[in-house]
Parts: sequence; C-alpha cells; structure tokens
Amino acid sequence: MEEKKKKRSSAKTLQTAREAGYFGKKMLARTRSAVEAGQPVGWAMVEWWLGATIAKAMGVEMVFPENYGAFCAASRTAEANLDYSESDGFPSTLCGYARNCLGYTRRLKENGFVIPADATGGGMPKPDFLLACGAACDARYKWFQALGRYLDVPVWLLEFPQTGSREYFLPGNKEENIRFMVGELRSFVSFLESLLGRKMDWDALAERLDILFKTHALAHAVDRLRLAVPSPAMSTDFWALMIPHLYLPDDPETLAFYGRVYDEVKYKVDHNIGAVPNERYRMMFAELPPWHTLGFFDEVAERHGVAFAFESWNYHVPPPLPAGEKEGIGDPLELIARYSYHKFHHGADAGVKYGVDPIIFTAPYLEYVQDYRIDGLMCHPLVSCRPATYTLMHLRNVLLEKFKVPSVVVEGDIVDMRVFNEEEAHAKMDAFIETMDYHRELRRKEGLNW
Amino acid sequence: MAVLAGLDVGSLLAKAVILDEAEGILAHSVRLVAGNFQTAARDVLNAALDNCGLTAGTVASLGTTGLGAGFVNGPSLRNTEISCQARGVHYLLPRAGSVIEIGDQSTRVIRLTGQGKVADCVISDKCAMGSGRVLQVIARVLRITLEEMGGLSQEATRPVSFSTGCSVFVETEVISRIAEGAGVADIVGGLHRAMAVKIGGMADKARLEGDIAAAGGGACDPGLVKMLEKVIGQKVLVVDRPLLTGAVGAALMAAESRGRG
Repeated sequence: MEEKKKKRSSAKTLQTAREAGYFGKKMLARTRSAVEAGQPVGWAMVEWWLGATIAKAMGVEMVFPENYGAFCAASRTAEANLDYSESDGFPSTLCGYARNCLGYTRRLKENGFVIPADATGGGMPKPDFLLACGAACDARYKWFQALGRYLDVPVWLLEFPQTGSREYFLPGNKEENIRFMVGELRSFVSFLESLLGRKMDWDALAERLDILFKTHALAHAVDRLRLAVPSPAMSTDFWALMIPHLYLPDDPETLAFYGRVYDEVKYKVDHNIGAVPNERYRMMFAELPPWHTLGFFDEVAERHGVAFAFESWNYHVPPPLPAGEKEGIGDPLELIARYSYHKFHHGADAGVKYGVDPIIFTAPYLEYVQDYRIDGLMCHPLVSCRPATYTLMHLRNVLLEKFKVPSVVVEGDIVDMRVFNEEEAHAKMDAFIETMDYHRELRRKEGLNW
Repeated sequence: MAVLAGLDVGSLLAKAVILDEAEGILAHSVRLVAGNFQTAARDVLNAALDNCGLTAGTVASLGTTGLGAGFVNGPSLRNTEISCQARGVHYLLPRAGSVIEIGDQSTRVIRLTGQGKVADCVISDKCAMGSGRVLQVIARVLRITLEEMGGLSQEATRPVSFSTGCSVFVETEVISRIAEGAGVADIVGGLHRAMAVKIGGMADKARLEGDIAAAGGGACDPGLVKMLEKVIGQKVLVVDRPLLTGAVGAALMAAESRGRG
C-alpha cells in the first residue's frame, strides 16, 4: 500500500520544488505557535494578496484552508474529512477544499478545539476570524459562512470586482473598481483594528509589500524562463513552487528561496537541460490539478516524452504592474488593490483580441499557448468546482479553432481521488499523442510557427 | 506463413483476429470473458488460430487492447482502445471519417485522420447510460435478448421518455413503466433514444466529420443505430464485423511497431 502511495506523488524535476513543501508546513507551524503564544490567527481563502498581507502586517498569523485541502489530498488523508463533512449533510458535489475544511473543522470542534493528534501536517488551529473573498468562485461566498456551524468567529468578506474583456476598457471602469477595492480594504483594516485592539502598522505593511513585489518579480521571471525548449521545469514543479509565492510572498525567506529557484531554472535553460529527457511534446494543463495523483504527470512524461510546460492561470503571479501604474501611489492599500486587480485582468487585451470571456480562466491561456509553443491542452473538469470547469470546453474550442491546438479531457477532482480514474486518464493520454501529431501537421500547414 | 494477431479483451467479450497483410482477415473468434481475462484471452486466440489452421508459432506479432489486455501472457504489444478502434475501423471501412464505438463499459466517439489515426476523441463519462451495459441491464429486466432489442425498438409507436440519465434509475423506472402498462417495444425505443441523445452530445463535442461508422457491440443493435441516425441527422454505417474492430486495430498497431522497431 505504501509502495502505491509513493508511486502516486510526483518526484518533481527541480531540487527547489522538492524543498517547497517546507513553506506549507512552516505556515501551519507558525499558526500553532502563535496560538500558544496568545497571538491572533486567521484562516483566509486564496484572495490574491488582498487581505492576508494586511492581516500579517498587523501581527496575525494566517493559514489557508485551500492549501490545507491540497496538502491533505497530496498526502492522501483527505477522505476522512470528506466523509465527515458528508455525514454532517454537506453534499459530495460541494467544493473538495470546502468539504475537507468542513470535515476537519467538525473534528476540531468535537475535540474541544484541540487539534486532533492525527491531523495532517499538524493541523490548523482554531482561528480568531475568517477572511473570505469573492474572487473567482461563487462557492466561496457560502463556505466560510457554513463554518459557523462549528466556529463562532467573525467572517470578513472582501469583494473583488471582475469585469469582462470589453467592460475592462470602458471609460472610468477600472478606476471605479480600484476605488471600490480600496474602500473594501480600508473597511477590512478598521475591522482588524477593532478585533485586535491595535492600530495598523503601515510601515510593516509597506515592508511586506516590497518583499511581495520582489518575490513575484522573480516568480514571473521563472515563468518566462520556462519559455525555453526543452522545458526546464514541469507543472508538478510549479504546483510545489506556488505555495510560497501564493501564500507567503511577503516573507523574506520566500524571497531568498525564489532567488534559488530562479538560479536553478536559469542554469537548466543555459545548459539546455530539459525536465523531461527527449522532450517530444509540450502540453499545458488547465486548471486545478488532481493533488492526490500528481505522479500521473511523471508517468505521462516518462511514457511519451510529454513536458507539461505551463499550467493553471489561477496560481501564477501576474506580469509585473506597469511602471506607470505604480508611480506616485503612496497608499499601500491602493497598491494592493491595483496589483490584485491586475492579476485578474492582465489578459484583457487577449480577451478582446480573440473575442473571449471571461478574462479569468480563459484569455491568459490564449497567450500561453503561443508563447510556450503548446501542442496540446489537458483539461481537468472538476466534479466539485464550477468556476474551474465551465470555461474549459469554451477554451478547448477556442484553442482548436484559432491555434489548431487540441485538448484531452480528463475528469476528476482536486481533493476527492475517488472520482479520478487513473487508468482511464492514461488511456486518454495514450491516444492523445496521435491527436497532437495530427494537429502539429495542421499547424504547420496553416503557417503557425510551432 | 507469418501472420498478425490481434486480441481485444473487453469486460464482456474477448475477441481475436488473425490477419494476413496481403489477404486480410483469415479468421476470428469471439467468446465471453466470464470473469477470467487470462483464460479468455488464451482460449480466444487459440480458437482463432484453429479456425484458420495455424499455430502460435506462425504469429509474427501480437497486438492487444482492452480492459483485460494486461492479463495476456507472452510477448505482445499493448495499445489503447481508442487508437486500436481508429485503426481497425479505417482498415475495415476506409471511407469512414468518424467512429462511434459503443462498448460494454464506455462509448468512444473518434474523429479519424486520413491514415486512421486519432484526430480527436470523446469518451463517455463515468456512467453506464451511454454504454452497452445499460442495454444488457434493461434486456434482463424485460426478459428479452439483446438481439431482440433492435427489432422491438423499430416497432415502438410511443417511445417512453425516461426522466433520468442514470442506468440504475432507468432500471427502476422501467419496472414502474411495465407496471403502468407500457409496451416492451416502447420501452426499448425510449431507451435507445435516451442513449442516442447522450451519444449524440458526444458526437457534437467531437465535431464529427465525413462518413460516420458504428462499431462495438452497440453497433449490432439496429434499433440503436437507427435512433443514432435520427439524433445525429446523418447516415451511420455499421462496420462489417463490428465486434472485431479493436482486435484488428491491435494487430495493425503491433505490426506498425514491429515495422518501426
């Protein structure tokens, strides 16, 4: 059994990627230490650097239940939490991250808010507040509210306007959205000041933001290094490396770590070292991965010479903010608002150019596919996730029509491995190799340059 | 003489073909798996060889495919069902541009390249409703044979409309409809329509092109094929010996690999 479990986790091709799991464990450990020291702790949804950075600048240790869900799935310990949430009435079609969190929190409550001894990664301690976010996903509006069944702590929701491709360019639209977001952040600061009984430390926030931007600049540079053929890294490397840049980008240790990531990837590019020996195909993955079976990608690489060269818009840092947009912004809240808004809208030009909506989960891929010379897309529709699924068939059609890049669809879930059929996934990939060969020829005939 | 052999070991049936590159299919055999892939694979291959008076020593290459392909003893080259179906249909019906293969466990809709390779494909999701399995389940409930279904379906005057897309619930619903007095022909007609709508959706997704060929066990059911034609709005050509397409493709792919090797 142990042998089987080992086989399913990814070996990763970068040394730094193998080390990145440390940051997830560190995050969990810091929150537990904070509770012991009487310091405040919060649980946050992924909110693309809006609120958690602010909370941390006020001395709150933050942990992310979505990351915890991925951690539980990757270590194949999520099923007990999933079952426990289902036995309390939550349907199996709810978000896998939410069900894992609800099951875990139910156990936490029933244990008198003492973390169960067998909790994965040492567990998440009871929070003092919950930070929700309206970005990307409708299910997330209700998930933290539903935690009220087990936790009697305040929930703060940060709204996040996401506009369509053409709407993005409407006169005044962007600035109005930024003003709205700054207002949201200001209210959040007031909430925290009231909850914690202390004033915002603006210097600490500015310092954290400075580190965040430096970390993200490196993360983006790494993404651009991955344009190289052969691909110096795989998606499985990225999914490990994203933990520090998504959850702890404002930590000096993350910044130092990303310096090492950059150096490692740069070395591989400079010396023409591919992640996959004899790379034959370059694929892209959309959108949220099957955390429980990442070894699948290693096997596909081994069998067919497939490098998963790029992936998951959701988790990538955006291109750096245009210099003009940063200049003269003295208010760190406005800088945060502009940057997070930029993350969700940097694909607007591509959205308009190719006539696609929504920008998120769709438009950026139209640029990636050309930049990274992609032969095929692996779509991973999730039984339990509408936002990461409903765009996939649209994206599949657009990539085929505009770029003659085919897709293979493999159904599954982020956390629930019971709905992922690995044999079937391999059978589909085996046949997809011929499909990529055929479309490569079509692209050549149409004058597309990859 | 050296021949090519292909084995398609499915969940219900094991199929073997013996192929001569110049003369085409020399012999074949089909038998029930009956819960033992290894025995079924061995016996069906031996039976096919017996049928053309050859021995295992004359087999230059053996290609395998199907759910039970991993249980085949001896040297062989295993390939995915999708690619084998594509090759097999192209070999048996070269004019086909697309394939609908309705197997026991799943249905595959494949768009072909001019060389019989996979230009695109869609596989039914984890649901028996779009596969041949549901035909067996309902045939058992109605106490009719699979062979009878095709004719009955075409006699339907008021095909039953099922309120569910799930084979488990369809089984329950069929029992209720029988109790309500619905005729067997209308029930089978309704079932075929429900399956055809599901498979038609896959065909849309795969953007089928050219002549459409049907293969697999489902293609042996003329009622289902007729209903597919209605839903898709195009003639569906049934491949000659539709159960053998996977085995033929497996034999051809093994030969291709041998040629490359």
